[in-house]
Amino acid sequence: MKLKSLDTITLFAVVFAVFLGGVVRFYPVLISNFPLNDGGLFYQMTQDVLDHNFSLPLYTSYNGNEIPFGYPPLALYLMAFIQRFIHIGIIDQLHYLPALFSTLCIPAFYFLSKSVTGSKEKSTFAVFAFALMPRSYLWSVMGGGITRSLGLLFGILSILSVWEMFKRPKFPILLLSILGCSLTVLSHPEITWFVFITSLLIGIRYGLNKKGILYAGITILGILFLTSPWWIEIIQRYGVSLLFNTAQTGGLFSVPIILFYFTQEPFITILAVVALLGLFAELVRRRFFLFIWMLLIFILTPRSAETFATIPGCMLFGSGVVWVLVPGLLSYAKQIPEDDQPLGQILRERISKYTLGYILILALFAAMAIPYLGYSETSALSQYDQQAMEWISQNTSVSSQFTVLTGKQYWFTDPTSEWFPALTKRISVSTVQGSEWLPDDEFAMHVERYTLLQSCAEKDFSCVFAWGRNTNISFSYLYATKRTRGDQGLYQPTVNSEMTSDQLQLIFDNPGVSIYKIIGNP
Amino acid sequence: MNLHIKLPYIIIAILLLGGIFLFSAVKIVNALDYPNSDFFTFWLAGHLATIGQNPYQTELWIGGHHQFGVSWIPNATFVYPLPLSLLFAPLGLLSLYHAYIAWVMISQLMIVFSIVILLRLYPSQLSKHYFLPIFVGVVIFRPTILTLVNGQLSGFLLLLISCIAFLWERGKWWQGSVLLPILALKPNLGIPIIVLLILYLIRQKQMKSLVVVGASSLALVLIGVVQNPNWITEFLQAGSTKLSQTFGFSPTVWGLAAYISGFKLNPTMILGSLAAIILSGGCLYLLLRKRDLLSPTIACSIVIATSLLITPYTWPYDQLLLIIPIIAFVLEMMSRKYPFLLTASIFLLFDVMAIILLFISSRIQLEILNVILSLSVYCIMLLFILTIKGKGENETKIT
Repeated sequence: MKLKSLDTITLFAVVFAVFLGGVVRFYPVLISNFPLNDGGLFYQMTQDVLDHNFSLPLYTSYNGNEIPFGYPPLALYLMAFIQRFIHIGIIDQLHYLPALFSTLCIPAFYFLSKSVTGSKEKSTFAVFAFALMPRSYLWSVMGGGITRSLGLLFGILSILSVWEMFKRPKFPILLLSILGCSLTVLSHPEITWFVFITSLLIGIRYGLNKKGILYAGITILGILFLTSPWWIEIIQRYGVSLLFNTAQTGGLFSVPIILFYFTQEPFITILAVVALLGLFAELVRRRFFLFIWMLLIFILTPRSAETFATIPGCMLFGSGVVWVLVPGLLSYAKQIPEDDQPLGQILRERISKYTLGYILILALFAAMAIPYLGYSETSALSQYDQQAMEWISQNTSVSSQFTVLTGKQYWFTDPTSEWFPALTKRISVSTVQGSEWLPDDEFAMHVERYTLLQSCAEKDFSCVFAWGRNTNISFSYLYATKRTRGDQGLYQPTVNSEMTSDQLQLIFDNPGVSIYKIIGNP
Repeated sequence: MNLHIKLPYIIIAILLLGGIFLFSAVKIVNALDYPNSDFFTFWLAGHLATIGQNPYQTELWIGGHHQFGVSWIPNATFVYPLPLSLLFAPLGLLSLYHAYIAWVMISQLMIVFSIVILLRLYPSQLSKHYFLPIFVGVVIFRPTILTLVNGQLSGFLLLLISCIAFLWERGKWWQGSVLLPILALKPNLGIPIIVLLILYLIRQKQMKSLVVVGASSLALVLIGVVQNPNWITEFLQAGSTKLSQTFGFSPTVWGLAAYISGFKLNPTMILGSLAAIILSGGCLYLLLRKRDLLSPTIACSIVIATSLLITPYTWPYDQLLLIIPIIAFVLEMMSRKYPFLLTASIFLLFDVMAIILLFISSRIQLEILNVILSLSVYCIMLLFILTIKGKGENETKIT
């Protein structure tokens, strides 16, 4: 943990990894003129905080004033504060801050890896993997990643503090644990859960002795105390059940982790392969912590399992390099390297240098190419959508209800549906975001409706009307995105029957969007 | 090092690179709306060349777009010299999809070979340490990825100029000069580079090379004439239309002048001309008055930076050519025994600059300010060469 223990090569390597990680995180953000993918819900919630003069709103005004304001509010208050006192717009903050927080995760990860693996060498390679592994940052750099990236930063620091606390129980580290975990709780619910199960594992790893249990208890009490202004308010308003509503968004188990296919590398999954080798190297040395950590992530955090798995996964990559790859490469010279060969020595060998350089270039090139490879995570609201939404906010009544037809397969990578209620201040009957805070399985219902509606994109408008009848949802306008240059994923349904076309009046059209008014009752 | 030891490594390296380049090319092209791309222009010209059609005929050109389901039609005819269509004729025999993959793969190889060629100009025991930082710098250099995804020609031009510099450095002046006129296939950049390098050849008293440049140019013209006797007239007409459509929006001094003057024509012309004259003057001063200090690589470097600045039409992917001056600068610093960390970071600093300029471009929705990248390279090269004077006129030639 101490900076003075870093030698020059390691320091240079870590700084270089942070630099490269910063480049690949900011690059997709900078080539887009709008926050990547989602963020509309948080935009509106931040606006609500400002409108309520920094008191916690009861409901968010996003998509019809029905969604309880139950989201951990730290990132929202931070953005509101920056908007009010530093005068940087919320959209700009959603655009750039997630990439900044995600970049800050890289040095935090290095220190965590160094503590967990106990090896400076493994951690140096691990930090490069973490910097360049697409899954470690893709979901953090989006607009909606404002809470994820902040939460992940605090989450990594929390796990580091908890690890150190169990390893060397000291009062200052106890305070850091309480602070880190509290900030995580106030940032992101899922990362809180991830930190919780990881902390349990760390506790078991160090043995639950009297002092450990005492410190763990104090930590929990400290977290409850520090976060109480928020959770007491939430429980008083909506009851305890609200805090568990978001659990509906997860599934069962994360198959990609078992297949070691969680890295989202676009070309060859070299980082995953080396990490897999590292896993076996750990197991044969009877070091089970990283394996069990991966297993817990697989079982207990299925919704964002792949993202969380990058943390132990990158540490395994470090083990793979130091314990498998380098010794394998050096065996040609009948050299049997020590288990923890110094970094300088590893890099002095020509074959190790070339191989690791090749892996670095490969991972870097892949990360740089991602914005052009059609990853839905790096798509953003088009300028045509922005124009159309601006037009709606000025030319339709506030009570208007819209159906948003984009043809996207998944609701969580549909920026149009997500941003629509925030930018137009109108209701989108097909938007899923926010419904995870609603009771009675509303979330599942919204997802089903969304999927059914978007399947109409390759059919005709009668499909949309049938969808409205079947789901008993009424709407007065239809917002349909069109396929534009560079976009292969969107289709606009054609008006192919006289009956349906009679019921539609085109009221707005640009190269990317058509807006229809529904005439009469279909 | 013995050849029999190196050869297997070379073969393995080529196989590894080729495999990954092919795979990444497939991935890139699969994700693109490839019919509506810059590359379609080159492919269609190549395709028309294989069936003996004239790409300067508007009906044929537009019809070609419709035939292959292309909705984005940036030009009414082919806007490049006709011999370029012959260069793309082999790719024109393939389907657009396969040709695009092949071109992205070839472009990657051309960029890598260019780096290798440039590094070979310097003592290998030193330059080998710079391979990784330079390669990393090139990978995260914005024009690199833009060249690949747009299917542009910049990789080809980069390789050509690298080969020219390499051959000239080795004293093979006329062999390098054979390649020089080929740069005219991308005339907006190629012509200023050719003109300035011809002046360099004159100053170096390479008269035989000048004759070779003339002969090679004539051969290019004749290749086009065999295809279409009127190609020069038709090309000039198409080219001037393109220029009028895009003038003042490029990352050049003309774009910068237009931006500063609020896109008014007269002030743009005055400011742009003034800047172009000053920058060209600086370049000419070095080429003509400092001939003893300029190696061919440094001459090519300053010429590239100048051409990118003064040409009326260019885009950020064309700045891929800046790889040559940046690498030359890094390696010159290396040979002057500057600290490794400093010299190895130079390319990365230019990467950071390109990213900051990308940020600004996305804010103002214009690419014009990317001119700062070319301008910085120009200024650094200029200062670098001029500081040598301060050390005494009897300084040895750079490299």
